[in-house]
Amino acid sequence: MAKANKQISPIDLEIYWNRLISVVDEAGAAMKRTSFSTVVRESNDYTCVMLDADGALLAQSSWSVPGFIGTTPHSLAHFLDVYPKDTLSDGDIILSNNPWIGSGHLNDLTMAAPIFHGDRLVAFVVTVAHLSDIGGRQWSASSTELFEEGLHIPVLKLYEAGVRNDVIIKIFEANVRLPGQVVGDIEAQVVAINVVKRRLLEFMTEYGLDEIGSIATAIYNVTEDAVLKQLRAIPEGTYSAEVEGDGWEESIRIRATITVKDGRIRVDYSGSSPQVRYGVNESFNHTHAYTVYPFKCMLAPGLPNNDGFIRLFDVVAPEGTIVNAKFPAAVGARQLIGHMLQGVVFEAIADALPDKVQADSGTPLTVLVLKGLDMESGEAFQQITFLNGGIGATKGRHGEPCSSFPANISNTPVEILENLAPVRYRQKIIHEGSGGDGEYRGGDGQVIQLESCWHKPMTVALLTERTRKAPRGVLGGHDGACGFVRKNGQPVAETKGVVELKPGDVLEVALPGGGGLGEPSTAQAAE
Amino acid sequence: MSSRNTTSYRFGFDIGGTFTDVVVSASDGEVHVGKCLSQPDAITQAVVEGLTTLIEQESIPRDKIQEVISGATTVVTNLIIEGKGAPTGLLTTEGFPDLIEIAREMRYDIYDITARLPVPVVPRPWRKEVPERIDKDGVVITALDEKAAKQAIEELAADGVKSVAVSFLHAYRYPAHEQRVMEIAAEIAPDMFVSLSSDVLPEIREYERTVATALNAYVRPYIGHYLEELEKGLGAIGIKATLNIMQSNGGVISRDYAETMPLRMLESGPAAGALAASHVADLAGTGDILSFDMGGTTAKSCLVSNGRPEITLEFETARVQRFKKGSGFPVKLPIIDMMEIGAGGGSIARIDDTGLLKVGPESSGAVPGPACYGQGGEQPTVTDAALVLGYLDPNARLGGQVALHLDLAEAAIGKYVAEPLGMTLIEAASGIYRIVCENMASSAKVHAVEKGKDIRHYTLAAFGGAGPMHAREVARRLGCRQILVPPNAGVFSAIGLLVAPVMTDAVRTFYTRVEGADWQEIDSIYDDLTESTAQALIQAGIAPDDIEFERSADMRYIGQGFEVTTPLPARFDDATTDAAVQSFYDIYDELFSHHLTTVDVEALTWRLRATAPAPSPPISRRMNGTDSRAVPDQLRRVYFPDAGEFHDVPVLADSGLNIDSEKEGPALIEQLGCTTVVGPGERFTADKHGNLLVSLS
Repeated sequence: MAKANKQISPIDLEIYWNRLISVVDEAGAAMKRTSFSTVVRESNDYTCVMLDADGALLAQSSWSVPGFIGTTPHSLAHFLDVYPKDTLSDGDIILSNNPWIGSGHLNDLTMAAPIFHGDRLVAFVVTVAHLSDIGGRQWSASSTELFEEGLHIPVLKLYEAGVRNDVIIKIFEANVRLPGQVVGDIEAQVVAINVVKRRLLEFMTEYGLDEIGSIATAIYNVTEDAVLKQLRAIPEGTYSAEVEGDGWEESIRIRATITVKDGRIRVDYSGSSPQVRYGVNESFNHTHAYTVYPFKCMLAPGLPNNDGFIRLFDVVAPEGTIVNAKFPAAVGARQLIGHMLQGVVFEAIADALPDKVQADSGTPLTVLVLKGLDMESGEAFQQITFLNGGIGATKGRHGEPCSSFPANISNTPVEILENLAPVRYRQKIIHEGSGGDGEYRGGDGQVIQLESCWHKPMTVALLTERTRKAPRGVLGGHDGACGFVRKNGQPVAETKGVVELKPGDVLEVALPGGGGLGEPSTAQAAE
Repeated sequence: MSSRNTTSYRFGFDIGGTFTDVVVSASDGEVHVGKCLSQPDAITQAVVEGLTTLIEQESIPRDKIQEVISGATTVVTNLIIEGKGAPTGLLTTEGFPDLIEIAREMRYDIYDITARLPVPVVPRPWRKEVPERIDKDGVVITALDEKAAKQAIEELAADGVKSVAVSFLHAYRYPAHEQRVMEIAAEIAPDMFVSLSSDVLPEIREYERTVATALNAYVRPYIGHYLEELEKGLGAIGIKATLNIMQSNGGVISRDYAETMPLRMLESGPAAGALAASHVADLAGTGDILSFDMGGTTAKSCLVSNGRPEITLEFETARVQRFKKGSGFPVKLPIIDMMEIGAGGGSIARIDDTGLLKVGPESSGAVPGPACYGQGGEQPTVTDAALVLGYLDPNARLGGQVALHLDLAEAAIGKYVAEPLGMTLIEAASGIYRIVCENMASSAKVHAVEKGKDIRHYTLAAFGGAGPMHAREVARRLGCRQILVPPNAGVFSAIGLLVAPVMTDAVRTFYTRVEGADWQEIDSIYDDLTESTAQALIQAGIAPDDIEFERSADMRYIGQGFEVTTPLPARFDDATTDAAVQSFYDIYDELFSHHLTTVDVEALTWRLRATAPAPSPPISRRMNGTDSRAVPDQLRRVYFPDAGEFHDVPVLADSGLNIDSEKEGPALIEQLGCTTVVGPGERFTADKHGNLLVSLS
């Protein structure tokens, strides 16, 4: 154990640690409630974190989606390159939505502020949230460069010593479709920053602390020790796997080589497909987060996120590949690649840790963007809806049907969608048998049929995956079934494109099932 | 004592897992309480016995008992958790048999890939599809296929299904198809219980509506049986009183209404606790309170602002993991908002993978219980720590029943906490105490923020076996300045049954922009809701003139994903649009501290609440005492973690306290079933209603 632990009793450390997490959770709750963004509220697409004075991750809000694990220290480091630490003063707030600095697409706005105790900089607070809108083309994979995807704000100070720069706000207002909501979202992040500042200083006063560095060190050390204990279950060595996705014009390959050695985990994506023309490319931060995520599930599902866990990883993603695209690549639908990384990691580790892995899931989720515009009457609508496939099996558990993984995004209820867009569901059922067979079966996907009830043709932008490349089973488990897209019973060839529906046309979408785990015969023998 | 001839009585009971609490109040307000062991196999038996004992003890004439209020806390919940409901079928719109299983497609734990989702109460073979379709405006697209409906019910009946839920898409707009199925069922299977989604929860969002309807169907046969048994039992001892039922919304309702809507009885016991706390806070004049009920396994808290407990529409039942949000079935009925965490007297202290000390949520339960009970419990618990710190009397019997063994508590804490961490016994015990209090305080803080409230302005109203003992440390960590400990803190929830108003709620979804809404059409919806709710209250014995109605609507900015319940004026006119929008802004400001004027507002669901106040609220009276010690000359050595030292503390009997005379701590104040800890420098007073008030320094 590290030296710091000798100074702080394990009981005090437990209380301090809980309190720091409670502070960011309280701020997260405040942000979630004051935000206008549906994605923030219903899908927890936000994070609120505290970093120590050196910029290491100390405490992160508990409910955030995996896309934010460990991204904020990178973001803060970029911010401090522009505004060095010794130039900052109390009341400064820095922001940017650069996908390479933040969390992978323009919709996510990152904000950071220093926290001073007297004259001493003791910590940083960072918030990230998915804004209601960022202008540009609406959410799709079909942009070919970043500039189509919306407003790009470089690293700037939104607040300078407590004074807001209204120019930035005006630029936002002029560039987004929902200016009222977006400014509300920005204010929500400021609210959260102020909660963290106030509560951290109250905490320091309550316990008579003038810095939190020694507490942070102790937290990192106990976390690292606990993870290392679990990591010993993976024999040192090199593991690799490769998965394929539909991609756009041609399939995409993700190759991971994982080396576990001396208590460190190195994940190298060399050999993965080059970046592509369309908006499914990932920035490094997003790749890093979704690479670390499956390890978190296997090694430390109950431990809070902090530097003690993050620092054990080296993620290598060669520039120019699909998992580390170069500016100004389009990145708007980067989740279509990011959500597949868990599958390649689990598959690579499967032989070493068969009791802990999960077979690949019927992921990423499908997004349908329904749009219509009647030029004569001016009547228009646009509605996004989400659908989820089956989850892969784990040892001891059949995969759950139709559930979001690795993100956690709920569906739009049938009755709500029918109120928001002129469509009628004809069917929404579990796609029985689509989960891969195995000792433990993969979860089933679903099949939906959607009929257009509009008086004009409408368009549906499709963000789908796994219509040609199935989610794989592990350890002898079978693959899940692929999804498909049909219009009036006929297959749709371009499953990331746009289809037109005339009145009465029916779009049918099937979501892939999750992979199975273990040889199916074992299950039959048991029964 | 009041005259026995003119006094009438109301009787309430709360069936818990271990104890059944009984309480009687007289029309002059005086309260008598009792407690007896629950009998899981004959739950109404304990009620009858408890009541018999109480009326004999207090010489209450049986014919003067006018009303009996059932607060069957655990009955409905346990049926669902234990999977002991009736075999239940589900009829759905053709093409949608799986909605109950597809659910909302979310996971409740992002990192736990072994987590399981709750299993639907209706298995796949008993979900039958019926050709029919209604659109969002309530227009029939496909007529009901009556033959298919008939066949489905026949097949279910043949399979031994006893109860059926019917949930068709958009039935909240057009209930006729569901109602026709009920008629068909009555013709061909008259013994089949039928629950319609348009009755149980006529609200948009098919998953939540279907789950509520299916759960209602699942528990209905059993609850009907329970109510009959209860009436029989009461009749057998000569009690012919009106039977009313406590609901989870904090109101009581008639037996007949409750029988068709048993889902509304979920968690009615804790709801009663919040009402009771609100009642005593009103008597004590403390203003807003956080009710804090800490028992053996959990601590439950509820914010009560302006005398009204917070209401939530986000309740879940039968969670796969008790303290994980999202792991249960959603019940979108208005329910008193209880925040529950795994922190109670039986919560286990252990050292986890990180080498740090954790307390709860695992609990030693009633058996074996804490180590100090001497019933074989090995692991140290919160109660063991309280004993070592001196908060509990090592020579007393807990609740008059369980002998405490200090040596066993010390051994458990020593072995599992103090030795591995290399600290003294007192440091370890004080650590357990501080950690459990910090856990409770931090979750209450986040909860208050979610509700847009500043917790520091609330009084902590502590009850339950462990509540008053931990209240000061929790209050300190919350920044609350005052603690209120009510009389009868051990059977406190049951008292809430007697202060509950008669109440029911009704809803109807009708999607519209608020700007340009057709208020006449909405008024006609309210005519329907008014009639049905008034009927339910009249059934419970309320005079029509005594009923108050409150209107509200679930509103949101266009484009948002969820709604804010917004109060509406009692009558609609030309100014209603502006009033409704302003009301939405006000409530938005309160919750989120800002609002927008640039985005239009829409309404989804219209709500009506009908209430009538409870007759003659109960009052406890404190006799003036002499501040004498519980045991003369006894001082107990007690450790205060904040001071970091022991004090010799006088132990006072609650019944011996002087009214309105302020005293300074430290002190331990004992009443039956719990002990209040007052720290050095803190001040306490007793009021004439039996409340104890502690001001923190």
